Amino acid sequence: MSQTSPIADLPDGTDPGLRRSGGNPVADPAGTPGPSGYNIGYLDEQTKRMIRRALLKAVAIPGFQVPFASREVPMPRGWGTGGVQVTAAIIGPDDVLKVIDQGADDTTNAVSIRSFFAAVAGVRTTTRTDEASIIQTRHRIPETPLAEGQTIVYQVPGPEPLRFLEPRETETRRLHALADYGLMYVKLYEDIARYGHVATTYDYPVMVAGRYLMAPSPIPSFDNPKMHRNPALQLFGAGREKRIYAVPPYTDVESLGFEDHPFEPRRFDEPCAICGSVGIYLDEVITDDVGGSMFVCSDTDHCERAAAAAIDVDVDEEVTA
Amino acid sequence: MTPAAGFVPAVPVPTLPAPGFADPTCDAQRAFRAVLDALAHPTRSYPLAGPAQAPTVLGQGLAAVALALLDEDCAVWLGGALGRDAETAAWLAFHTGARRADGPAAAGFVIAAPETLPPLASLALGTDEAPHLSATVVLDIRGCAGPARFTARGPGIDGVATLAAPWAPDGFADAWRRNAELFPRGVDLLLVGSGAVAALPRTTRLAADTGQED
Repeated sequence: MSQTSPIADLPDGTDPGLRRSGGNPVADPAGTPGPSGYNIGYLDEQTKRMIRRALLKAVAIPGFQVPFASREVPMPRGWGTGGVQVTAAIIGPDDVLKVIDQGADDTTNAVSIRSFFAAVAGVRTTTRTDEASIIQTRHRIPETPLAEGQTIVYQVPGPEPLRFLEPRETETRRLHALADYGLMYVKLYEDIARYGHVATTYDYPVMVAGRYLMAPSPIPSFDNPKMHRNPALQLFGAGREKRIYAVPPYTDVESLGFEDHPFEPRRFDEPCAICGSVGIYLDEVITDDVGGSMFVCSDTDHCERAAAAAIDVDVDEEVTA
Repeated sequence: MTPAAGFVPAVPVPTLPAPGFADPTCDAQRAFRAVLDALAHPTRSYPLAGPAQAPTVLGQGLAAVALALLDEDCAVWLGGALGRDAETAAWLAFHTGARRADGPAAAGFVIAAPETLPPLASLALGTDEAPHLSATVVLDIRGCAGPARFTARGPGIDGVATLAAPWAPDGFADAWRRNAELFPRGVDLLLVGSGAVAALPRTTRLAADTGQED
């Protein structure tokens, strides 16, 4: 095409529509192109400011779901677009990023998101929990305790804990405004009446700072106690549902329960079949066609280091013997 | 640009506003992270670097916050000398495109020095269903020298923290207590000096610091 472009200052071949503010994939005219040619962090600067303002209010109102204008990112909704947008809005050249999916650093989703930010933000990435400044996660909190100064970004499919009890958004907003969470207690009570225990093992509802009922994202209830007074900043992004929420450091996060049926996180009796760790979250891995299986750490970073430490101990013992 | 001799422009030649961030993307990210860290750790101060040639009345700190957070989706109210300064107005309009609110109650961001800050209760407080639609107060704390000290508790604080608050006007503790009682409604406070930012989100509870451990 060689027609004269109506917008004279665009380079040849540029789709003028892409230059509009909010047409995210090109470097923002006011932004800095990253190593990939995209604006650093992929999103345009105006989108980042919109997400940043939402994040600030989310931190100021712990557990409250702040609506935001969720953008398209180069992955399908449901694959962590909310988490990706939150990470894109906070990440900078000084950050070190870790991404986990069900605890694992080496699954497709985790590898893709990590390489995405390495490309569009030029950040260092790591699989070590203690080296990361930002940890984006799907469905787990790492076994290694998080430290002050770290930020954990949760990918959230369903941010509204009351949604399956009350389908109308207008009503759930009002229930949150009134702190009327009776519905959820009735649901837990009915579980106990029917099954003898609360039959929720993931996305177990929590009360944040004594005020807002919050969905912790589909982490196992095993991980819920880690959220309580965690020194790291916890941010939650739901891309499809267009909500951002947050738990500041050192904030009370109580899993719901009753005096006679207190919250009980899931426990595992057996150790990890690879590293021998106990007291951590295990995945069942099928090993053959006749029903054989083994239980191994869900957190691959923890498992690798525990296994390496166990080998060191064995070597030390051999040397002393 | 000097007009050629003998040429008299029909309208005054506007002076270009001073530059914004040297690196718009990375500088804005760093400024935002300082503000985010400050809100996540109330009372703690985080370094904040602004554009070197920011308008004098605005200063580097406020300029950094403005560039990082404001755009044409925002309504801003400027108090006192800030509101009267033409250079600041032109600079903010050029770099952020933010609208000037008619009054403090209509503003999403209220930028003011302590002595020109309207009563907190007169600002946008949000609603019970949408508490995030409340004002963010950006307080210019340069050159403040009051005696106030507080102890602070709440989300983001491990136990109790102390806060020297030379910026706190008379009656601030009461006004802040009433703000906290509105929770989840209420304003949030960014305390911006020339090179640092601290914050008090609406969840932080303040008490006069008697200097004694409790």
